[in-house]
Amino acid sequence: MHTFTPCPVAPGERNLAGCPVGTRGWIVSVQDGPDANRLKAMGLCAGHAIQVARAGDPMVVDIFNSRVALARQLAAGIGITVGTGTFDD
Amino acid sequence: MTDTTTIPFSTPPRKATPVREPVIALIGNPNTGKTTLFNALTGLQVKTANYPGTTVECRHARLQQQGHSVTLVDLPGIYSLSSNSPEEGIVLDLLLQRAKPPVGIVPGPDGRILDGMVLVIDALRLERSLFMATQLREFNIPIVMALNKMDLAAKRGIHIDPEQLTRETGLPVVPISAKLGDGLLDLIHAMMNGELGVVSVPSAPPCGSCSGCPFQSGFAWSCRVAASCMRRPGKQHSARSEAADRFLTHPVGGWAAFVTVMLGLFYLVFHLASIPMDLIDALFGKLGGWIHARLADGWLQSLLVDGIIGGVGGILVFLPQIAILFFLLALLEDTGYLARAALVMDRFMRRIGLPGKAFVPLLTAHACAIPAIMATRVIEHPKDRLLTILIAPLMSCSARIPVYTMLIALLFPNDPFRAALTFLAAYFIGLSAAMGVAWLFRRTMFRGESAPLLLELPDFHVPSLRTALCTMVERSGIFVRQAGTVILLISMILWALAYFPRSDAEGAEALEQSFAGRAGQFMEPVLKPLGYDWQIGIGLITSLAAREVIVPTLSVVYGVGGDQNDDEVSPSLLNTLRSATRSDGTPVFTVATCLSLLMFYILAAQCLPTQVITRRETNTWRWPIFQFAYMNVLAYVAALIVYQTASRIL
Repeated sequence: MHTFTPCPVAPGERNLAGCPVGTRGWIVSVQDGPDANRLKAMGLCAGHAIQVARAGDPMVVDIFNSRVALARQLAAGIGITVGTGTFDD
Repeated sequence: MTDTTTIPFSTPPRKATPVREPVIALIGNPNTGKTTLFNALTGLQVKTANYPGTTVECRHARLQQQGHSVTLVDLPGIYSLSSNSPEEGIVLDLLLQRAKPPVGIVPGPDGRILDGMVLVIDALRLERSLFMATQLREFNIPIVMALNKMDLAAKRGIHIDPEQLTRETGLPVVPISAKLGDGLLDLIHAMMNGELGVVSVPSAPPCGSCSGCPFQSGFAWSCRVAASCMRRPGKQHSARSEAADRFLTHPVGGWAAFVTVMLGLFYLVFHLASIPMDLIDALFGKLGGWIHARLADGWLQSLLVDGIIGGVGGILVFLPQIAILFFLLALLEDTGYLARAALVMDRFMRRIGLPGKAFVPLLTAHACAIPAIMATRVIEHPKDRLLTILIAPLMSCSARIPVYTMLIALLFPNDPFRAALTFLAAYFIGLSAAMGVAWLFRRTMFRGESAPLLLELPDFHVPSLRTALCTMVERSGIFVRQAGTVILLISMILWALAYFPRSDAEGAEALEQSFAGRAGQFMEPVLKPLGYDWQIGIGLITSLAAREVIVPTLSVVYGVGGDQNDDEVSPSLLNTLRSATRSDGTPVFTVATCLSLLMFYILAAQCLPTQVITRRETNTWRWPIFQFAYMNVLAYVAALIVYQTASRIL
């Protein structure tokens, strides 16, 4: 069993772009746009667990066990739900 | 088979129809080890060409084993077939068997190109890379799955059951480690014996939130399959790699690391390369001298010594820089660092309308524009890449150094401080011009922003020497082929312009009467406002082969004599240039003329080999012609302003 650091933001829906390092949640929406399919193909697609590894522009997220850097403008199109319980993925 | 076996054909096969070997493509996500696998299977006999009508590179090689042989193609790494990038378009066309076959690949009688595929799966990222399988369902091309990075998976406590994976996907699964070479024979065996399967992925199930979204249903499938055949511990990123990433992408630490790595890279490209460069230079010099001594004076001797050896030798001198650069870049890329560097540079570069990945090519251009243009392949978005190619030759490359040295020595013979300052200013002017032009083109021809950063940061690992060596040999090979063909032709044409028509005259007089000399005199009215006479005009023409050629040309036209092929700036040359006068008796190389010529050489596209490489990388003559035109117009206008201002105030 590993230890979890508490998530730095309160539970609820929020925009990925503003999330601080350590935020964990699930993707709920990806805005349509010219880059939507690029994002989805890399796993940034509704239903998947995500964690913020670096905040700012560009930000870095962990998804599907891989690390993805993305520009803030792309992150701004992604909505996530921050959960209440532990995050296990 | 022995020699005595009779061929069981009633008619012998025609010579023209080559025996077609099955073509098998490696397909998979970026960073799955696809290229490492390709290099491990094929070694150094890779052939590269562009896919017809595109700028996407096709790497292929023959693989012979157990009496069979196949052609192996390394497809570009892609995440899906649905996002309209040029790479994905190519892969889709190949999968639909409707692409034009790349050079060296023989399609079947029915137009079929691909006979099979190896789907490379990253064992550390099973869910994401299995998604690719769902994209390959409809193409009816047999597949074998190579489950790569099994060594790393074992180290991290990840267990994958290949048989279960086969049951779930319908594909034969071969666990491998491309890096260690484990399992490669099994993979070859599966390919050679046609033990390939067809993906049995259920067609897209109805999906609640977004109906018909191939991503959601595809990932749902891949997650279910992964869960059924894999066990792994929760924590995946090691504390060490976490810490490394925190440092390398830190706003301050990241920049410090970046500057250190780039300085190191640049130092090695510039200084380590100078040893073999001097050697190559000396070798070509010796060869020229040897031919010179053995052939009678005449056009043949001059063609061989000045045209071919001087021209091609002058460009092959840059081979060590190119080899070292691509070797080091491949090593850096393999460690996983380059992706972090692109991240760190991204915001900064975006201000001039370029992506972070453009930084390394532009830095490289300070050594030589040719490898820089070749290195722009890392930039995914075609517009961003083209823009980087167009501005790269504005950076002050090492071929400009002899020209800068000569002009600055004329300007400040006894003032090392001002000389150093002028040198620095020359680099700065080139850099600012490149940024200004990028900014301008972004607002005119390449409207819109550069594609926003979206980049996987691969795991850190110890780089593979083999991969780096393969890359180095491949890139150097491309360069040598260009030098031996188009660049050779250009050198010969420029030589002929300076040599013909032939009269009994010698040295400066012969050059004056040549086509180049006549062109210089013809251009004089245009060059006069820049402060140049027709002799400098000849230098501008002959140095189209390579900038530094202006130095020996000026030493011939102003009659210094001695070794014409030596682009060293000798004291006697400087003295001659200083005392050179125009027809009215005033000196040629005034401060204003020197400054104007310096400005011209900072900005002008005086290097046709660069245009040859631009043509190779953009697959059209349009862009190299545009590059040549805009740079020379810019150089002309800037030199005009400098001369007109300087001659009035000085």
